Amino acid sequence: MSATALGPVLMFAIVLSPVYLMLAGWIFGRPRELRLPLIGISFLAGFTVLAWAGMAIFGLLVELAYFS
Amino acid sequence: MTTTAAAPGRTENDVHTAGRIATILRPLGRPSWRWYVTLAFALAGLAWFLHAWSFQLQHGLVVTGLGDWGYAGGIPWGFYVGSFIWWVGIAHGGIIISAAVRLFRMDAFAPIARIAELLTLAALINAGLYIVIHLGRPGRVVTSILPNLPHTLQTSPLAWDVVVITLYFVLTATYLTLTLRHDLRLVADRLPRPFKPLYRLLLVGHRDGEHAKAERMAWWLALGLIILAPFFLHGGVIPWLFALLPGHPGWFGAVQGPAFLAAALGSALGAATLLAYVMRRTYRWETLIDDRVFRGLSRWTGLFSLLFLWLQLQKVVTGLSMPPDAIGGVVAATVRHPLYWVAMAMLAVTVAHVGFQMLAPHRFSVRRTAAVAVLPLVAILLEKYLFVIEGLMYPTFRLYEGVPGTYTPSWVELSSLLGALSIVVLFFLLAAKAVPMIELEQEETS
Repeated sequence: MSATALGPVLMFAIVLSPVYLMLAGWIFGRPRELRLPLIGISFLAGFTVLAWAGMAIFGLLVELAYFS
Repeated sequence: MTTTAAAPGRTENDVHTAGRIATILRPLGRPSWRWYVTLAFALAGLAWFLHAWSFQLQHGLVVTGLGDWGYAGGIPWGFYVGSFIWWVGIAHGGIIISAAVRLFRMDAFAPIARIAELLTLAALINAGLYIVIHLGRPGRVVTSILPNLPHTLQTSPLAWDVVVITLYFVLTATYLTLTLRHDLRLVADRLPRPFKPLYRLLLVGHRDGEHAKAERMAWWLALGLIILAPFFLHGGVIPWLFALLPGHPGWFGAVQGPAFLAAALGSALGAATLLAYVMRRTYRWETLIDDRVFRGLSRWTGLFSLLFLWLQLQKVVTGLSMPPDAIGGVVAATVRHPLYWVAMAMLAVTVAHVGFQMLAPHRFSVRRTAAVAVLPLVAILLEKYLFVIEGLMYPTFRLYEGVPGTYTPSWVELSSLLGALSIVVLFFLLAAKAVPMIELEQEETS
């Protein structure tokens, strides 16, 4: 396998596989209901946005304070 | 079940459970003077670090000698990257403790599961902080990394690292939220008012009948984490940052995965032991975090310290026996460095302490166990620091051979350690005032 192909396969097929398993368990596992899994997925998305938006705002503030 | 000794309508079991919950909620009360003194020290430590970081932001990474090929003997990475590995290892080990409690019913460790989860979040904040500091300009984390991710993800372990650190933070925060929701609802009337907005966010969409589903979702999340953390993160992507670079013989090779994982678990268990000791002592939790917890933590810390020592033995024997020149050079330099032997001695004492406690169980001491837990923490930090700089000092291609100078961590870099430790202290001071530090449900079932 060439190095070029390794990254996407490694990340999306191997490293993320436990996350796929987890999401399948949330959605199809018992007790069967979708409301809380959707809230859980919202938390996953919300924390991702929180981490990167927080970083972006912090980076912007430092740029303004030290590099403008 | 009798009701003779309890109030009318309440069983003894109810009274017992209520008493335990009241003990668990003890930290949520009014802060003591000790809490304020600790807060003052932590804020002072953080202020000193911010002063040092501000100095670096004003003058650039030149104040550390790092960045590009630097002026420190060709060491573009140094204390910052070594500390990053250390913190991310502590983070991975922390959540593994909690996930193991839920998945494998390791009930003896149930009282420290949430402490381990919070340790993971605090350590991940510090791991991320070290990436930010090391990049020089914090804005670059977003402006350089994110837009290029579709391209860099193809081949760059650094890009993989950014993805998994984000993934790990998000999964841990969600896991903590799922397990907190039931507890927050259960004791809603006893929670401190200043954190109400936080509780409202965490309890969004909450319904009283959701607990069984939430528990099951936490189980699936724990399963995902216990596969991810050891096999793909601290035994995978993090060591691959180094192990995939054949130009650096000190880093290259398949052994880095197991070695990183053993180091992570040893240092994380040491950190969890220390935190458990501080919490138990501060809040008089001898009945909740009993001696069995410390006996168990001590044994696992000793086991992973021994595993790490064994992997070091493999490295030293293969590197000194009849090695290729490049590998021989870096291993010879490693064993000549006094700090390496200080680290190995600390790990050996950790293992010996476990042996002593097994041979003489009546001499077991929680205080001594907590004191010994510091050793693997310091040892792994020293080893990771040496691992990074010596891997760079002995490359195959002599890329930086003509660069003058030698590398010693600057005061700015060393100040970051004080700052990171202060962040952990602040994090736990606030967390202890905001949420139950022990899972009420797991405590009830254990």
